Amino acid sequence: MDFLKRFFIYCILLFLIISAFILSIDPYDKYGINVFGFKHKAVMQSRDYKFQMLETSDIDYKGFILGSSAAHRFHTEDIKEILKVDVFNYSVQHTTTDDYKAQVNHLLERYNPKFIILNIDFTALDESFDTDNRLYNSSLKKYLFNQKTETHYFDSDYLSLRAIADSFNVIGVNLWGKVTHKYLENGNYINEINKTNRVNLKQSSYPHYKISKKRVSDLLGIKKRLTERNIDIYVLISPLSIEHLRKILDNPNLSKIHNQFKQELSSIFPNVWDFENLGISDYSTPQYFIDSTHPTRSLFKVISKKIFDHSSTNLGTRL
Amino acid sequence: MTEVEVLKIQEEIIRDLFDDDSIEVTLSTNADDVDDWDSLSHIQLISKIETHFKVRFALGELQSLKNVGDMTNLILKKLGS
Amino acid sequence: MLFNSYLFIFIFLPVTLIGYFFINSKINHTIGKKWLVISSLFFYSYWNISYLPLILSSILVNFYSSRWILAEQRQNRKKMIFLLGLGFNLFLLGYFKYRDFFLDNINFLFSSDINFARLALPLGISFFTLQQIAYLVDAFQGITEKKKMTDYSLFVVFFPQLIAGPIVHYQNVMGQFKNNENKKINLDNLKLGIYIFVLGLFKKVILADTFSGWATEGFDHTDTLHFFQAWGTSLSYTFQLYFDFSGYSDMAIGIGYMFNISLPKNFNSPLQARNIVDFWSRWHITLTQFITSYVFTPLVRSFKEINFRNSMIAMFIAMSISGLWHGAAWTFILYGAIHGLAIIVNHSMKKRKIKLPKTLAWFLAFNFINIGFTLFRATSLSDAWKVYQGMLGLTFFQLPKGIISNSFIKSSGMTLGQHMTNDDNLFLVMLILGFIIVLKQKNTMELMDKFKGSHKDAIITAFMFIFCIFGLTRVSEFIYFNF
Repeated sequence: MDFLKRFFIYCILLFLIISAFILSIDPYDKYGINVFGFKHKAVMQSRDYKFQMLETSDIDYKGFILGSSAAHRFHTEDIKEILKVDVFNYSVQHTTTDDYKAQVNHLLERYNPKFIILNIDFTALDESFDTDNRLYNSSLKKYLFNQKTETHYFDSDYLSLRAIADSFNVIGVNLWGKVTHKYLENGNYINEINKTNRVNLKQSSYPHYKISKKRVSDLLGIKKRLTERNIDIYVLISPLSIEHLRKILDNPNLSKIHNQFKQELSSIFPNVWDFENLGISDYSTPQYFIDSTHPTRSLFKVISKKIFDHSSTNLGTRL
Repeated sequence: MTEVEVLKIQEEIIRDLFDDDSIEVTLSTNADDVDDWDSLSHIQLISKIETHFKVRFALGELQSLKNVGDMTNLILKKLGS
Repeated sequence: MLFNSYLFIFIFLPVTLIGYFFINSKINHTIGKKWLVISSLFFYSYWNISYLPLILSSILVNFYSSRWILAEQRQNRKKMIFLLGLGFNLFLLGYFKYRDFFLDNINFLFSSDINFARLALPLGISFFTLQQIAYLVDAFQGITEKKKMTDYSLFVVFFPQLIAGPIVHYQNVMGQFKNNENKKINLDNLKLGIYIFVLGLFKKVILADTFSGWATEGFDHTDTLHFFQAWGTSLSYTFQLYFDFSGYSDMAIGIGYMFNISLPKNFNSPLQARNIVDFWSRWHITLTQFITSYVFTPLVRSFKEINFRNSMIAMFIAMSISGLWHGAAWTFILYGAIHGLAIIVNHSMKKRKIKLPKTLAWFLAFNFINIGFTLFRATSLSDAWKVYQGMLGLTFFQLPKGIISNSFIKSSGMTLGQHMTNDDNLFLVMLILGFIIVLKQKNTMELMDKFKGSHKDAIITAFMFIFCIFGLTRVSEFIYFNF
């Protein structure tokens, strides 16, 4: 009997202590609690962080970049140099059209954009590529108007091991100050270059790719909302390294789907810039790619010049 | 047949199978006590016992034979019926 | 329903447990058993109700077949019913599990293009089919008697072992239900049960699920692995599989104890094995026992003489079948076959009295096991080769930042540090911890023997449990659910 009593009591005690610990630190700043007065908090993920940046910024952004982590290094200064307006990089990890919908709704409510840049990955229309859970737990959730969100077994972000670890991280960083911000001004990513001599090939087999009608209609909906407000849309297909592209094209099934993907896009948007073609072979070096799906700032600079400045490179064609 | 007789015969069979006359076999002897007693020698032992005593073990009985004592009991039961 | 979920731990388990003992004391044990059967069926259907008719028909067919066999006097009739019953079980298993594999191979061999909708594998079918086949054989060989439907159903569906074992023999488990002592709640068993359950939960939620991050990254999300990545990937999977499956078995055994039922142990420090024969007496023990008794033995007896050569052939076939049982893919069959070969080599060495120094023996065995598991996990032979290539150093060497290269670190966009599960330093720590636990630490069964319910035990168990509670929000599945 003693063991059982003690076990239950210790369980309850430990649970209360750990919960109190996490809540008093409030590592993701969800409740505005700061018992110890820490200067730096751990914000959980890019969707919340960039959301907050936009909510609290004084800058009147006129242009926004939407995309996945592939668009992280699309630097806003390079666009500003050409177009002379303030741009914000709203790319977040592992996006699907659900993220873009929510983000567009958010932007239309808070800002007066002149143009949106959509960096579309090959996975964007893949039904088997799931929407990231984190969207449903972020501040963007409320911008998914009337959409049935899948129920995931998430009670709260704070009931997790990560929350415990992050609480310790918060203490550690604030006491011994080792803050490394990943997202800098205007949503740009930290300056990261590929120091190796190769472009690592990421997963390129897409085994269950199925073109999703829902995602196509999501994009149509986005286009409609933007054109209603006279906002220009620049759509580009995110570049893949030549090795990665070849892997896709060498697979007859996948190659067919890849073509379909492009066709769908060009039927939705009148003007699509295709950077996912063989013209990428000159640019598939560590200077232009972090890995086979993540271009560097340098490559996006070339792309910006092509789209906004009509420079003549053989990279990219209009679909 | 008595338990002691059955035990004695099993001892002979075991000694013969593992080629070691020094093995002492009691009711509690099991695979851990004899080097090289694994599933292979186990099935050989079962087979020899079946041949000698003219009994047949059902597949489902094999698992419950944890030691010589279990085998002795089962042999006696089958001989008795 | 998963053991590692809030619903199971805080609702299903307490309700079923309290219900069982309450009904036993206030009404009667037969109703109590029926309560368990219904709860177990609910547990099963929770995953997907469309599986329910399947398991019910399986139970009905097997139940009545065995009754008929026991009643039938004429040997040839008996045999016929037995074969029909056996055929039914194998057909069910074959259809749901292997049809797609079979059709894929036909398509491949004959370049045909038979189109078919993929069948979903009904939960636990490999396990409850196997258990019932054993019972059918026992009935045919006359070592069991006529049973009541409630008892038989409980034997098949008792929820702790329904989905992924341990595979039990009728008498082992139902004999315990019969015992009067076991009909009332027993606090010592309850304590022990909680302790073992928490150990299993910890292995699953904290250890297996952490390793699975790296294993999945390497197997599924990276096309080329360099040396350190390849070794990291394969070792991660070996640890993931061990902690996942043995954790599940521990949880099953723990829950069993709460009901005063002692389920058979399924693992005994398998990664300490010094040879492959030894390994199989320590890994998924109840399956090894089943294969040995019901597959290997009849195979070997079918030869005229039981000599070394014939037993080795039978062993090889039995192991390949065991491989195939795990899944409908060539990788699984190959996995079984290479283990069959290893066992043959092992026995041959024993025969010639060749002995290896302990550490060398362990080293060879461990590496072989690790390599086997990579094959087990790979989705195809080329997938396995991807990892082997890296392990052999045939891809490239990249001195990783820390120990594991950047491709294992997902950038999380956090301003501070990295999360726990994607840190390369964490990987090294977990790897070392993994080795210490499997090689030095007492396994669950040994800990169980030493359990006293002391104050220290209560604190440690509570700590592990609460830690797991925080870890449950990581959505995961058990690997063996795919069987």
